[in-house]
Amino acid sequence: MKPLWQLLISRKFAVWQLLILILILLAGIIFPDAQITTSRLFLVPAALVFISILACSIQRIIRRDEWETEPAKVFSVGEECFSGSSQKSSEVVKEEVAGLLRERGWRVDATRSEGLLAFQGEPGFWGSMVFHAAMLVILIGVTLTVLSRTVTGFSITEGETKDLMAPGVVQAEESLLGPVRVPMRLTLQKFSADYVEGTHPVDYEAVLWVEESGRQPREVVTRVNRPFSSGKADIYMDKYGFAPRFVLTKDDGTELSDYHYNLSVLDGKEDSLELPEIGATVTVVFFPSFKLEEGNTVTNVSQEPTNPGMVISIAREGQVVVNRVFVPLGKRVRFEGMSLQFAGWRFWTHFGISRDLGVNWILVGFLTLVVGLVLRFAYPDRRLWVRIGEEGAGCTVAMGGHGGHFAALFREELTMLGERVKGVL
Amino acid sequence: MTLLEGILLWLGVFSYTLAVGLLLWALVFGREKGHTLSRHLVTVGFVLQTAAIAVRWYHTGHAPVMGTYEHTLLGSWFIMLLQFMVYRWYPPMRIAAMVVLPFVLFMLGQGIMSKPEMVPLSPPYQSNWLWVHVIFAWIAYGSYTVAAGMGVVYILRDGKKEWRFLDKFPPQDIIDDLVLKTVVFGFIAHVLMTGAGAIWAHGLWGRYWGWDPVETWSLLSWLTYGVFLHLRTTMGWKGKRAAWLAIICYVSIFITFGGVGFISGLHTPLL
Repeated sequence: MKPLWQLLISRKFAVWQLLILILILLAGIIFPDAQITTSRLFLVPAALVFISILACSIQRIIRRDEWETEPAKVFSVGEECFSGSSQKSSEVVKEEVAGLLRERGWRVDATRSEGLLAFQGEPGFWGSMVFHAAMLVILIGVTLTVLSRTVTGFSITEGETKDLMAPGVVQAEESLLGPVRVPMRLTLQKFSADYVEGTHPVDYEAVLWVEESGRQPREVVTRVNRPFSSGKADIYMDKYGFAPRFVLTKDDGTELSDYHYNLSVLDGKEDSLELPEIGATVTVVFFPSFKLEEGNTVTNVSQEPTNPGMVISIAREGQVVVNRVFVPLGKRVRFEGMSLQFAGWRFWTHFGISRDLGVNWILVGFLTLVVGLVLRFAYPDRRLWVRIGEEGAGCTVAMGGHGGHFAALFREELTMLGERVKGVL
Repeated sequence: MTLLEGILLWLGVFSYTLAVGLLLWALVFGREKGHTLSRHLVTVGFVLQTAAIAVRWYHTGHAPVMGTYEHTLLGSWFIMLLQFMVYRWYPPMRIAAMVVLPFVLFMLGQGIMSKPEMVPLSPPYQSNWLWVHVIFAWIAYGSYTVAAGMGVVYILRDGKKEWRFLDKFPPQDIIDDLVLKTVVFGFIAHVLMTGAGAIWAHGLWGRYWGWDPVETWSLLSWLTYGVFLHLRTTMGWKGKRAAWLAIICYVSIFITFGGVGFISGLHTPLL
């Protein structure tokens, strides 16, 4: 058991663990399809880091004050910055130097017969502990994410109402803690997409009417980057598109179908939809704001749907019956005793739904990580000793110390402090 | 890019370039005057670059955080800001500008050669967390750049007494401590950058981490600097070894920004 503990608290082992994680990440970048970062190859060393951090933290607390019991070492640690003598008695010098050091924020131990010991950096010790605790919190958060995270989503067209608990509406991924449940009915009242100069998007906004069990029905205005919550689930807008209304009519006036179809791509690209009533496939290129150029070429001038039109092709039983006909809003295309009218359009939008019980742990972990690091390095461990020996009626004084991480910068400070101590002598 | 922004930026680039030349002249020929002039020119260049950023901000209505040009404009500004902060912490380190300035010029050159068109902030970027994310990213990258620059100085001077111009730098052990300080500063900013990015990503995509190339490289570089800190603070890797480490670790930052960011775009595709 002891060798295992020694391994877990070993500094070299910690470095090797970090290097292994780095190599695995590198492999994950080089071979993205292997999904290494979500595999056991990554999770096992990450779990080992967790155990190692825990062991190191326990060991630090156990051994925290150990060095202070070895006076022979502590009264010679680091470099001596000055030595001198005083006519004052050793007791007086000890008291005055201790007072000076306390004034400057040092914790002074005046109980030693050899002289004074002074310390700085206690918050640094706790900073290190907080940092390691934060790493553990983050790793717990990651574990909770792995166990609980589930993602799903649904599309909704303007004017449409969807019950998210109805079968087939939301196909939730299974997670180890079960699927996400969102007992909610949503109506997309309005969607808008604002562009500058018709090309640069500046705002996507959806106005929803939300009916949720146990709560008053309410209007929710949501945007990209502004998700809303229901229970443990976050609902966020992540896509939008156009839903033209197609009305299929026989020449005798019989209406065969009338619905909005959510096109999955924006302007300039082909999309296709099925008309099951007549066994036809319609290929559509949607232009939110078209312009007819010379030679009947259609171009799009804006992403804002101010003047929509479509280029439509229709195929039945493998035969093209309509080949790339331009249809502006309100117009229809005729084929084989029928007509397909572009009767209107609406926006549709897609909402993602995610549940992740680890996210708050992660955020708290990050915040704590920063606090720990700031404390660790703003208050580095510093030790200072003042050896005071009797010499006739007076005494001899020598001072030195060691400055944790920033030894050279501390030496400069120590030299200045030595000048102050000389003043006391 | 507006005409005014272009004039300000090019004047800034000219000032930085002249400052590098003067600094080199001052170091090689031991002319203190060149050193002083160079410092003034760097300040002038920084003011001009700040003004160029302000003009762009005014015209676009948002901080320069979109596209390669804006990233390099703001990023190089942060690196210069950190260089000024190092001056203030420890004035003898102003000479590190010899390493930092050419790097800043390289960044600005890369930005200017890309498309500096002005576009409004698209909806996915309209998050206060984005500012926090970008600002701390540049503080982190800037700190690591300065640390790597000081590492280069340490190695150049190590054991080369005949290179008299390097005597202008502070003692080696002080540089060693300053390398650590700047890495720590960058490391903390790196945590804040990642945390802010995670919050932004959670609001945008419903997840705080997506293992896209930029995220993965960012984590990789954070772990790399974690190795640096571990070796430096607990295993006594000081001096030349720490200087080399600061440079080697910086390769990961260079790839995160200069490689992955430009090759595969910014993170996961946005809405």
